[in-house]
Amino acid sequence: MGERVVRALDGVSLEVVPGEFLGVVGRSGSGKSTLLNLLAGLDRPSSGSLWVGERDLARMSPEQLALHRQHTVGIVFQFFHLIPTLTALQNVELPMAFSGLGPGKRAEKARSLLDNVGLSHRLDHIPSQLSGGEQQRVSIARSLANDPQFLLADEPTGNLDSTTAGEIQEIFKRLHLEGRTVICVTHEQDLWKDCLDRVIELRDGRLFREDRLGSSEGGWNGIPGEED
Amino acid sequence: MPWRDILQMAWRNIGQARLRFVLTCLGVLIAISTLVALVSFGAGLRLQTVGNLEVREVFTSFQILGPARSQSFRRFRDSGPDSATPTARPVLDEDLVRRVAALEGVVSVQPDIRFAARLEHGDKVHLTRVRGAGPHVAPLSPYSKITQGRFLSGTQGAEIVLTGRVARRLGFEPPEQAVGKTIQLLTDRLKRDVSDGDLPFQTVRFSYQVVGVLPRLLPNQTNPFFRGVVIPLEEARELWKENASGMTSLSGLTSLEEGRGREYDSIDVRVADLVSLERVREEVRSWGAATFAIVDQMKRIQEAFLVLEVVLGVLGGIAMLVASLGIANVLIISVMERRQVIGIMKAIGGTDRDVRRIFLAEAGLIGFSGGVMGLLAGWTLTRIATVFIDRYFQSHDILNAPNLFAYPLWLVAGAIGFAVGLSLLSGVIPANRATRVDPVEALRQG
Repeated sequence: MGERVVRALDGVSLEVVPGEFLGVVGRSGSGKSTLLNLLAGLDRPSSGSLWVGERDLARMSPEQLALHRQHTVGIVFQFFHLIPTLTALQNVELPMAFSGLGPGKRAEKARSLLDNVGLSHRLDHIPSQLSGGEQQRVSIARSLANDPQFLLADEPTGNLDSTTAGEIQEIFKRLHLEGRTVICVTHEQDLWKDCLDRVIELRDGRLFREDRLGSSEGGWNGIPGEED
Repeated sequence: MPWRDILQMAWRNIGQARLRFVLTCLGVLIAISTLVALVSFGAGLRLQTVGNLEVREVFTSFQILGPARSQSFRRFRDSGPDSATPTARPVLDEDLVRRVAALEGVVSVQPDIRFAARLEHGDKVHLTRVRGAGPHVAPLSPYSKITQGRFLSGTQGAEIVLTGRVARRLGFEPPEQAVGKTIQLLTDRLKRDVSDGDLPFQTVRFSYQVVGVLPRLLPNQTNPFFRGVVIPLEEARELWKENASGMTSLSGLTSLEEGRGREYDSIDVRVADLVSLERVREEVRSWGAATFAIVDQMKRIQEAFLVLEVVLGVLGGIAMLVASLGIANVLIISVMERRQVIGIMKAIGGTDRDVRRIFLAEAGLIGFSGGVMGLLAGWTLTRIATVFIDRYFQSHDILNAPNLFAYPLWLVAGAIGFAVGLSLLSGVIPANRATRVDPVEALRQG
């Protein structure tokens, strides 16, 4: 008996330009998270290629992919995924420790990053002592630890109330304006419409629709596909 | 990730499951304390034996063996001639003593003079063997350990040093009461005018003043060549040269009768160092004499102790092997429990190598902590045992009870190294499992 082959992504061709804020939408199981995992180097495509700058992620060794996650991309998860035994400061320091930065410098930088997301008063709290919004801010600060070029966010506001979600969205907006390339998987249509330059919709692992938006073109007018 | 950070993280992880850590460490502690106690016992025994030999200068001394002694030492001595070819060897007499003394590197040459004698004090009688001792014996154990009285003042004079046991047999209780007292020494002398039916011996009697009593020591704390009751060397020589006790052949008697004097059983030669020992022995052997030195036996002794230590070490090692299985088990469970954390670490840039090192560091820290504590526990155990051993020996009037446990540096470093090494080894499988955790799967399950 053979196993049924599931193609999480099939024939998706996509190019993201530096400084772009790309939204990825689609129903559950459409391949959004798989796309993000591929871009993060957490997963590998079974065929095809995935270029980040001059490098093809599909051909990288596990060690090179780990370095890619260390330096090139920062990931923000829906469920924050902070290490429960570490304080906010230590969680933010961890990627810098992996990249070999000394304790003094990384503590200083982690404080500055947490200050930027409004958490300078919560440095020594462990995740269980923080609210969901605060945990997500720590997660964002952690994703910026090694100054990555790309920010990958998987439903970053999916687990937050609307007020907190708005605050998180504002942080992403600011980071984008600072010049970072942001790729954000989301279900929340209205929340993100002010920031997205372009939105793609995946359906059954295929690129179903692509809309170029952006403030210059009059902003977001609704998530494609939701019209169906 | 630098090692300092890895160790910090490993220590923090261990701190999250303190009870588990303590229990796992306890396994290592028991194993290492057992190992340390057993091996230190082996090392202690070896030091007691070999170390004492070194202290007693026997490594820089050897014996030239006469025909009788050569026979009884035939299993141990060098391949010199035996008694079957007496003409091929030099006679052990004063001439030979002088020849050897003239060799370069020789510190002292002394014939081994001893004879059977009867000691009397009042109505108490004791048969023993009396030796002649020169001044060179004074700094050697057991004579260096005289606590009651003193050693002989010279090579002549009516002085005698008794052992505690002999003093008791002569009615001195406690034995130190003998110091200053006069006792009688009776021995046999060759009689030249023998009428028919008489034995060719007569008993002669001398008075000796007891100047010292030896404490009771363990056999390994005394000199193997010089121990027991002693009188000044020249006094002994006079009594010995016409004394037939200990002779093993009639040829000895004949030589006495012919006035040729008695051949020594053996001659004790002391040299300056080990190099001189070999050179002087070689020279003496070239004259046809058989020699014996403890150095020859050292290899066998060392081998025997090595086997003992290995056996004891293996017993302790088995305990450590069991403990290391415990470490592996705990770490494998830890990997399963921390799948999500491993996934997070990988997602934010941790390499497989970082993850592997963190788990190995945890294993190493368990081994190190257990090893250090086990070493302390083992040491404490052996100290307690030593207290009881000391009391036991003291209750049997034995001074200077042996220290049966030794902690040489190699044992201290080896025990901790062994604990850390085996722990690291037991951490390899869990650490490799941790590297195989798929971050996508781990994060999804979290």
